Amino acid sequence: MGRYLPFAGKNAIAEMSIGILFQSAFDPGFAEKFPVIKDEFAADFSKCEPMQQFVLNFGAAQPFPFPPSVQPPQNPSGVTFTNVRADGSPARLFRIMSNSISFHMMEYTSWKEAKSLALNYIARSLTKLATIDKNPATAFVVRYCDRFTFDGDPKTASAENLLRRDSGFVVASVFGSGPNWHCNSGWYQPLINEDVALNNLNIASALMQATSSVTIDHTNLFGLAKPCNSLSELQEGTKDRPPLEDVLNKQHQANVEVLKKLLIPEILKAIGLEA
Amino acid sequence: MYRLDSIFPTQGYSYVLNVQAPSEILISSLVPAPCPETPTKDLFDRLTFLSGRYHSPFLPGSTPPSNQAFEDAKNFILTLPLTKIKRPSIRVAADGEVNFQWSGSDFKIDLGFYGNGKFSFYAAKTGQAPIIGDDILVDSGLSNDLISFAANP
Repeated sequence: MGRYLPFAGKNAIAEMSIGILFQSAFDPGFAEKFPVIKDEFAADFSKCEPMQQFVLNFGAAQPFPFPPSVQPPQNPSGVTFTNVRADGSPARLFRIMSNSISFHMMEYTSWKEAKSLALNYIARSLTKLATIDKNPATAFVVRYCDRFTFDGDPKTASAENLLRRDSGFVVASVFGSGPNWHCNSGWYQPLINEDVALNNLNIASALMQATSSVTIDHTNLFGLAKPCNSLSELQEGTKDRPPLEDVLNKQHQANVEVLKKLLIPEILKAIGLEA
Repeated sequence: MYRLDSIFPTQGYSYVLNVQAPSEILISSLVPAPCPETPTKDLFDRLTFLSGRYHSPFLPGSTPPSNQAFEDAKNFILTLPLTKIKRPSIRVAADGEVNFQWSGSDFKIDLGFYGNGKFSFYAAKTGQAPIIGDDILVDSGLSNDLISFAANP
């Protein structure tokens, strides 16, 4: 009988992201800060890519086919820093774009290292941007994307080879329905005292190139009851909110608990999360 | 028909089309689902192929690898950080060994399984003394030294 396995040896984590959302986009004025930001991270990342964000307006009043109304800024409105592997794919990525700052790890090592790097990059970028007093932080995000591939006849792959029927996260109809299905859900959960975090859990199983793969994409978003307009307050916390690091730890733990409820014991053992 | 160049200057920038509903999580993933890379399955398929092809002696006096040697190899693959290191080449040897090799411009790791739940290895890197190990439990996986040899550049 076949079984699901972590897609890359002992690694099931295809991508992990840590991010902070802000009240407004960094766009106005980012172009002025871009050279300073670029220099700040030149030693950390091998590739720096300026980004531009466009607004496309599609209106019902316009005739079809209609030209989109485009207002392209002529200067960078964001930036992506990347460390790439020999094959050109990203290993680590740090992005400032729109109203978010995020760190992405495709070569995941540990929560300790990922968190340490993210906190370091976030602090340095916010120091150089110097906009948090006017553009406060509004939410923290932790996201894990896990992948599993099926070893066996792919047509026999089924949800019960990976997921617990009694997790409460997956509809019963996906079990026994073969290798193609998906189940998306969302719920609010207390994270810091009574303050809740939004969980999005998107699970998809697909047969592609004779391989059955399941992707488990879990995001935990903690919205701040009061926007934070100070880097020191972000890092040290307030009487109502722990420091950023502690909140991220709780968000990471939320992901662990979802996986422990979701996955069958053999899979938890394979990824080092057995009880 | 609109000429793309006349609307979107293309040199020197990357573009992001950002369409979001109010309740959508705003940090995009970089990993499309499903992602094409399947290193565990690829290596398991290789072992399955070798197991099928070399289940009988393939040279005069040779010994085919045992089923347990292939199982040890599979269990060993599940200890490898394959997002971080290159994939090994897998072969069989005439004495019944299931052999893994990693090689690069300045290093080589040679590692083998005989079906006793353990593995042995030889590793060499330019400018460093060779590292040798015998009778390492399969579940132990690669040491950090060897992982650094085989890490993606």
